[in-house]
Amino acid sequence: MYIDFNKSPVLSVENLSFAYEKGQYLFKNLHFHLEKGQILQILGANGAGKTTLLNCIAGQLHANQGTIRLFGQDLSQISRLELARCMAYVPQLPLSACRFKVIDYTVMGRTPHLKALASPGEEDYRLAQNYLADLHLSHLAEKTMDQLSGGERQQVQIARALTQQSPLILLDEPANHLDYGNQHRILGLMTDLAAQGYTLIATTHMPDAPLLTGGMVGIFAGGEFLFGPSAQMLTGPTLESMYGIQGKVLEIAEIGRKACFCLCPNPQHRSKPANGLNKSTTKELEKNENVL
Amino acid sequence: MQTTKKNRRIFIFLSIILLGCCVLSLSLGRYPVPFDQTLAILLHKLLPIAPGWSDTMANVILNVRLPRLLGGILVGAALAASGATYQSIFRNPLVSPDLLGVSAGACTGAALAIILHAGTAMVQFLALICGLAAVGLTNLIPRFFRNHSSLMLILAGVVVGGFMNALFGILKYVADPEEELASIIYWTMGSFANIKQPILQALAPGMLIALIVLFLLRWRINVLSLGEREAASLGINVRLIRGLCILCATALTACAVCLSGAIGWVGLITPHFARLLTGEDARTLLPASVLIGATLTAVVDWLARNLTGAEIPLSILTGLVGAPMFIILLLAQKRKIQ
Repeated sequence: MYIDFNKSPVLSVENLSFAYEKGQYLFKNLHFHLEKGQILQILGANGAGKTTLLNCIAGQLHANQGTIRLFGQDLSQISRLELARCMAYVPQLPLSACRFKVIDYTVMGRTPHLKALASPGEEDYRLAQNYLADLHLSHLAEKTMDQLSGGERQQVQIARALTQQSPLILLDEPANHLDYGNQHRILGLMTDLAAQGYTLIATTHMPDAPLLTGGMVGIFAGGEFLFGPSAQMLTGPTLESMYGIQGKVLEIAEIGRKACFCLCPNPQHRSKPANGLNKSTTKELEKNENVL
Repeated sequence: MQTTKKNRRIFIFLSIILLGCCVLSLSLGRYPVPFDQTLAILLHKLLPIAPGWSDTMANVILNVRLPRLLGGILVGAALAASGATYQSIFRNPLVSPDLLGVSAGACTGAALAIILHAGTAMVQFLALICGLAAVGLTNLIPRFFRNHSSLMLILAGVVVGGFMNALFGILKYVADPEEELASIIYWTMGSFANIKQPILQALAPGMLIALIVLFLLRWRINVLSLGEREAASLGINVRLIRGLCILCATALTACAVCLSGAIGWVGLITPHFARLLTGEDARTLLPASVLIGATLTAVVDWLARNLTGAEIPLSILTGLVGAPMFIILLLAQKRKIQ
């Protein structure tokens, strides 16, 4: 099957519903699309469905209803090999790193472009080296992955995704386990890649992340999925229904952007799991805010 | 690239050691043949060398020692390659080729044939069949649960291995302790004494094909070792490639066990040995494991024949030789183990 990477939109999700167990929907009727060069950051509490949605888009999980289209093609009709050519996947940093050399790990991105029994050749290595150089990682090429710091490893994983040369990149919590500086470096890298024309989808636990990278945000909050431009969608009440905290999103003049703040982690003075929050609890929270 | 050069040196070094050990093993024995004569006998069909040796010498080298040596290095290569493959695709350095129950099954088959007094050929045949049957059973269990994760397969292997060991226990329990039990025990400790030309001719082609297939899959084995999820995201058909790897590795182990009985240690430790020399990459790990495994069995077989008047079972020697060798290598490369 021929997939035209110039077709728009890059990704469209229509009426997507997913349930791990019959009848218990994690999300229902999701509807959104992404254009070339856009970043989508998916926010939500633990267990809200962020990773499930990412896995559905990656073709690893099959939704109960609805369709996902990549460049206009139905995802379920695309073979595993072709999918790997359209879409690269950057996994969460594994607890124990593998012991491949950085250059060998990076060149693994060429796998979907190789013939059936072939190993990567000189040309593939040259590409991998170029992408490592683009990310200023050339000096690490001959080290093994377990000799790198978490931040370096995450960048090498992204270099591998670039070596895969697919226009869409999925990232599963790319800033996890990284220090403050590296978290922002990864977000900066994502912004650069979007500017180069890559389309990126990431899950994140940092509500500030979509504000930093700009672009779209998908929010699992109060049993619903909200989608839109990050600066408009992220508000105090969304933080509240998403995480069950009392939060505020303020425009900070000195830095020229909005930022999220948590004012009170437990506005109801009792612990309540954020997941499964329904609309009535959200209203309760709003009432509480008035009282406070 | 510096590492390619370094790897080439390692391979040349390993090949020379293997060849040296082979010639050593061929010429030394209860009927010693001088080194130069051994080489001359081996090469005289290719090169015009005037025969300066007796017929007995040629007979000992070509008909007695050579099949046994070839079988031995094939067994070593097979166990090492299948160990390296298993360790990579199951992402577990503690895994050995009998992970999926092949050795336990083969031991049961061999014990059955010994108790039935069916003869050496039948022992080998039943060992092969039961070894493969055990792995077949292991592969059926994940199908039954419709769960195709590696963990399910490993658990199934543990279950089938345990069950086969129980059957093996029953056979040992009912065996006549004077003769049958003794030969069962002796068989499980491994020996190359029963490698004769016919069985070697029957099994060697299949084993070589399995080795070649694994070598062709070397890059896919690398990608699989990142985990199922990542391999799939790189376009790999995980079930197909993993299935092929398991099929080849299992067939190799089953044939090796059939030729020589259950030899411990080679399949588990040789890949580690190779990894310390050449790194994680299956493209170098597989050939290095094959060379080291073959060398190890060549040396061990030579020791088995020559150390004492009676032959020493191989499992004893693989442990005795392998352990100090491994410690020396660990000491030399302390840094790499974390």
